[in-house]
Amino acid sequence: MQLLEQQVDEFWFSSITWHEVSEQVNYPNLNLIRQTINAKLSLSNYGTGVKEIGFIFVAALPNNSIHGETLRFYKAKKEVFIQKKLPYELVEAYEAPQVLHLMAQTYLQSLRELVAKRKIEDFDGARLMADVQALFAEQGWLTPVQSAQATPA
Amino acid sequence: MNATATKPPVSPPSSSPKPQPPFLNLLLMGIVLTFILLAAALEVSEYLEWDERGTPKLAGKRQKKLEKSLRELEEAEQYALIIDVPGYYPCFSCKDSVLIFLYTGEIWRYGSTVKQENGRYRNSLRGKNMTYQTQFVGNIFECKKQELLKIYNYPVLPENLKRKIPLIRPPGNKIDQ
Repeated sequence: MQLLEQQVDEFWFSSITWHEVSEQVNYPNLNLIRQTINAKLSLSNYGTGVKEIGFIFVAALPNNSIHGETLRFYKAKKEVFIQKKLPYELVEAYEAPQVLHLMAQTYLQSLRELVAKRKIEDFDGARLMADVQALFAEQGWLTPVQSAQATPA
Repeated sequence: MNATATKPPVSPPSSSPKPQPPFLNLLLMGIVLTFILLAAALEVSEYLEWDERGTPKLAGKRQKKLEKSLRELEEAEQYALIIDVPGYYPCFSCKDSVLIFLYTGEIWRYGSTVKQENGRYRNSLRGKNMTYQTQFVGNIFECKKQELLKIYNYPVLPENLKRKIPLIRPPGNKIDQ
């Protein structure tokens, strides 16, 4: 199966969601993160070691054993691929703006893990992480949001 | 006087090997036979074992593989690949085109899976502006049933009915199942 390759971003995003929480994760959050990062950052500013960072947010039912977490670096293609779970109970309880903050924090945390666990030649991961953090802070995605709904215990 | 000299007939060197003592042949055959039997026994031990009473049973490795496969069949899910970014996408069910314009939230494909094959979702979702939505969880039979129902019922979805020529199945599904 080959799809069109016309709109491949340096930072690409996707999600694996249970249908009951798809709205909170995908619309408009996923595109918002994708557009903001790709508009403001370019991987070429951080060396030649990484050409693409793919990220998949997983919001699956707690008993789901099919979708795990992954953090890989494909040296030949210079691709980083991260698949990370969002806490399902929070996604279920939160409204979209709060879920956006959860996604931003999860993304940052994953970049932190990438820097700590993978030594990639000619790639300044620490600086990328700092820039993403600054960008998210500028967007107001790292400050808590008040919700109309009660926060789960 | 013409004298003709004829070479004395030379008998060709004998090409037949020296006869070997019969016990050597038997020894060689024995060794070969032993190796064949040993290899066969090793191969059999991959899937068959005997307990102390001599009762045959499945080898531990095969037993675990069976249990894992059965468990996977119980833990399947039916999913849909949903468009995130409007644009042209491949269409396997269009009659007059290989591409179709899809809007955000529209379905590209229904499917079922029992496990995350290495890179499967990565390949499906990589930079394709699609998201994977789990719509049903259960055993593989139930998931396939859901998939079939959704593929067959796709023509009556509003997103399909608004088209000039509605499709028979989602653009990303080549066949009904």
